[in-house]
Amino acid sequence: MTFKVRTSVLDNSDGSAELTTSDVKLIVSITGPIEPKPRQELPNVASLEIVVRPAVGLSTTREKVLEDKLRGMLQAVIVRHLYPRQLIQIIVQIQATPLSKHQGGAYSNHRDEVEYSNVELNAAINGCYFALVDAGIALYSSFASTCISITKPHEINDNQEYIIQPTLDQLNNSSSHHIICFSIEDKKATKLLLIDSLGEFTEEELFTVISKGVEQTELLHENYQRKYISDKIHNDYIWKS
Amino acid sequence: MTTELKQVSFPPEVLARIVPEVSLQRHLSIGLRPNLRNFLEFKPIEIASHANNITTTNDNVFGSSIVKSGNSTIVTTVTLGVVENTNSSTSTFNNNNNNNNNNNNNLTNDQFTSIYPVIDIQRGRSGAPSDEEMILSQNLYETILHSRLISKAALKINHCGLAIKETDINSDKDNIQIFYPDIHPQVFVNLPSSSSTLKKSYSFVIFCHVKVFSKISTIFDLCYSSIIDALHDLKLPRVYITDFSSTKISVKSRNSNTRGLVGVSKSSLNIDLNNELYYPLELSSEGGISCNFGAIKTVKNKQEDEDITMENEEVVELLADLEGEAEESTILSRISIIVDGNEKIKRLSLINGDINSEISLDILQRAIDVAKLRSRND
Repeated sequence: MTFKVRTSVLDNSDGSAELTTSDVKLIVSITGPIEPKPRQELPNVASLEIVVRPAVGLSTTREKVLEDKLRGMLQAVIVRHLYPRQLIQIIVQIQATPLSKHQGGAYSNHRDEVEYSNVELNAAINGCYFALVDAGIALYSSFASTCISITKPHEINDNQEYIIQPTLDQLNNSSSHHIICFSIEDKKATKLLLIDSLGEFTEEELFTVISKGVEQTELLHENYQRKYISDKIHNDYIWKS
Repeated sequence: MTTELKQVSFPPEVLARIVPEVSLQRHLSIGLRPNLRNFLEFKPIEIASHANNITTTNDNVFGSSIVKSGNSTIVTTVTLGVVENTNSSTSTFNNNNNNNNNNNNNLTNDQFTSIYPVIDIQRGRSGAPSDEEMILSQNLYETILHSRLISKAALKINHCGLAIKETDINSDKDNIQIFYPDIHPQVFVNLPSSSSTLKKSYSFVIFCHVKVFSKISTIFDLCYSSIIDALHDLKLPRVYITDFSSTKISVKSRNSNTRGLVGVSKSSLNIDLNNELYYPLELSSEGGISCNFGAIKTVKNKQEDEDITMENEEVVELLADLEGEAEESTILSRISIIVDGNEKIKRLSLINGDINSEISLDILQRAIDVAKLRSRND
């Protein structure tokens, strides 16, 4: 699994992160806390402005849904009451999607390709984490998200496989796919923040996916998030003796 | 000197407007919801698909449904478009035909398609769609796409007809007859242009126009059941090609500035409105029932009989089918589940927007159980 992060990539924003996974690449920029427009202002908490921009073209209803899901999740992890009457602007610019990579980078509006926007949601959540930490926005806990797909029952032995971070082909042959996001405290996945499952699955499969999600998000936190954050702090305070 | 501060009190309806969260908590503490339903009670839904005459009175509407729940009314009308299949899509159809007799399990997800929903929440003003409408439409599109409901093969137009114009010499009237390769195989072989019509293949595209009147609750569930019902009601027409329609195109001459008219004979696609030839759309799976839940932390007063001590216990309560301003603005931890009759889950969306009223796995389990029970009863 590729999982590369670069933080503070943008000079003019308060925090930013570039996340590259095996099939999605995106940049998240955070500006805030800043003064909001009067209509955005909330008296007791910070308001969030979330903008998702697609890899190609203008944003559509698809990006609106991504924004809505991100907002629902982020408002639970950002300590919003610390910044009353202020605005935190989060902009996610997607640079490459599984579909654009699949087509050799060339964009063609293929009617036959099924889009899996949840794969982008997964990357956007993980990207937001690094950008929020980079911007120094107060968070209740760490959070990490993972994508798991379940293959179709095998013709002979009815076996189903759980694939972590599936590719486009694997998604295409799956019977369902799931995004699981957990909050992480003391290296342990504690609270369920978001589940987004599409396809056809049973209750049993769902709970297996959730337990695998616990494992995966903890692994992600242990192997990548902690490492990148400690590297970042080390680099930020490089002049401090 | 002390001044006495008078306690300000508001009637319940005013309180609900200014502090919806307090009003909601007070309702919940006495075991009631502001809409007077029980915690896990759903609002009844009435579906009137076959009783309406939208489809019979409008030529361009091929399926329709009316869903009512309380004061909210949802009217869905289905119209169709026709697109030419590209080369790559024809190959998917060919694969499809080979394993047609097998079950859907062998098909990959890109052999399924979705509908194009347009949600219109009537609020007495016009303009660009609101965020809520856009999010609803996209969610419905993605849900139907991934639930593998409509296969591309079901929307493919298999027998494209051909219209032939015959001029009756006696009455000097044009007589148009439509021939279909499957209904009139003998005639069709002899037709001169039959080979050219067979070369191209076409598919239907489904547009669902959903109008929502007097919205008071989260309406994804209602829109979903309305669309599924309209799809069950949907009858696809036959399509034919006319070869004789000639149009005049104005072409600018190369040498002078004058414009001349050049006649172009172009075949055009038409929809046969003979409703005896309509055929129902084959759905690959059943739609299922959509339910939504919210979770909110409440404080329960445990009053012990003899003692004066009041024990406060915090519990996260699960509420079904959120409705009204207080519930919609206060409850941020939500679940939306679609379960079909075989207890298979088609969609699950859980967002814990409020970290204090967290949806734990137990609550999720309870919500799934209720959703399953509901899909069985319906």
